[in-house]
Amino acid sequence: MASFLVFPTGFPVYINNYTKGLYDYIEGLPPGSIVAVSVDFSASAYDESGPVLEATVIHMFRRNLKLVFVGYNQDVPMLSEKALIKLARYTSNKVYGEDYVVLPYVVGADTGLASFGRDPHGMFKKDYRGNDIDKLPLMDRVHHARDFSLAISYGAGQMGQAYVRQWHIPYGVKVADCGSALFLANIITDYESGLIVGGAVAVRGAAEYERLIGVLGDGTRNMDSINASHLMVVLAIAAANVRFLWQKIRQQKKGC
Amino acid sequence: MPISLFKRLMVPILVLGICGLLAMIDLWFPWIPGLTSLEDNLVGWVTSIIAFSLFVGVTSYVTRKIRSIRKKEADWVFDAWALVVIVAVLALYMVTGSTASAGYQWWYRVVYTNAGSAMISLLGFYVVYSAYRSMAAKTLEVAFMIVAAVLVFLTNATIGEVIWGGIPLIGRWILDNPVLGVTRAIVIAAGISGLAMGLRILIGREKAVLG
Repeated sequence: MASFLVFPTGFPVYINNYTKGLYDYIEGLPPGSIVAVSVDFSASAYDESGPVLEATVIHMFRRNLKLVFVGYNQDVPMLSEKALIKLARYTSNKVYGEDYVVLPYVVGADTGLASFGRDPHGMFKKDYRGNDIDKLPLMDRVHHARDFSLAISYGAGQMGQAYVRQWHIPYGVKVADCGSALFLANIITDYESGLIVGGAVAVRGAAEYERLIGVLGDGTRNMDSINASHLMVVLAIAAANVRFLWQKIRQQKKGC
Repeated sequence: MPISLFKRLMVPILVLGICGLLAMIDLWFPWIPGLTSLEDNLVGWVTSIIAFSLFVGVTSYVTRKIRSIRKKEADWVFDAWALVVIVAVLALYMVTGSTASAGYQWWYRVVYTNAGSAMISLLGFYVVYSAYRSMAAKTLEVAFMIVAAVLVFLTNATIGEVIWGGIPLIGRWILDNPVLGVTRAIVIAAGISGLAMGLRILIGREKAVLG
């Protein structure tokens, strides 16, 4: 199994319709549109959700979209900064405060989300870096959830559905859900129902997105470890059934 | 009815009902003067209460750990280590002045994130082991479930298509048809249940939320 990590396989990646849906929606946004980048996962989930975050942020910066990093987990600002440091070569021509802003985290999940959507300036007086948000040109354009052209939730939980409840249904804000693989069924359901514009799901989603934007990132690289771990589980299931059959045959022989 | 019982039951029920009704009325009739600002205040209070509960949580956690160390309960050494880490991180924050400082960011990126990833990675071995222990096809129903699980599993990994081109097609069909239908049923059922529960709370029929 370790050979997968030593010798990259480069297996082809089929692109799912919900990943393409998110890509197409971002492609269609006019430059200068504001996007809420909601980092809703904790540090331990960075290896699963981080590559999606990085791939979509690269795409959005290329499209000259304005990004407001926010989220509902205490790790949000630090993880946003970590992603921005990793993507330094894509952010070198971007100006903090004009092209992107990192806000502190919001407590209270649905309630916090509703509160932030109604009055972002009432909720935060300063950004994560200690700047007065009233003095940031980008935040001067953000006074309500309606000012966002898109909200993307990157999460290990179900904050994507909270965005649908608190921002999409009352205000019509378009939502994308880049949740973890655990919530794939919910994400497909929301996408097919038209509640979300799309979503790149976990490492597989990141690999698909990287293929769409032509970048070799952690998603593509980590697919080999995903293949190895999935194959290990399938082999474990096969071994369990061989053992079960073997035991059954032995019992039958004893019975005879 | 004794006054204590009235306070214990009726006041929280009234508060719940009035707050819930205000939130609902504001959603449907936002043009009523002053209602939106009142609702904004209510939502702000909830956020503040949740923020305060985090402080209560930390205080409770530290108190519990100190008690464990004093009484030398089982694994008290780990509790002591947890306290040391809490104090060290707090000290780092106090010295650097912000969680956005380079020092704090370094600790977060180099130590905390990697430690978290390592912890999660260990789960992978448990998953493989539990698959071996529990996923034997002892009945026909279980056999169907295991075959479906393996196909969806290999669909999400790119290796499935390499093993056999039909795997992702079948896996996608399972996800787009049976799984989609069942998930929709669950979501709709949960939505209707949530509505019924909300109504029961609003009219004071549901008392479990009061503890």
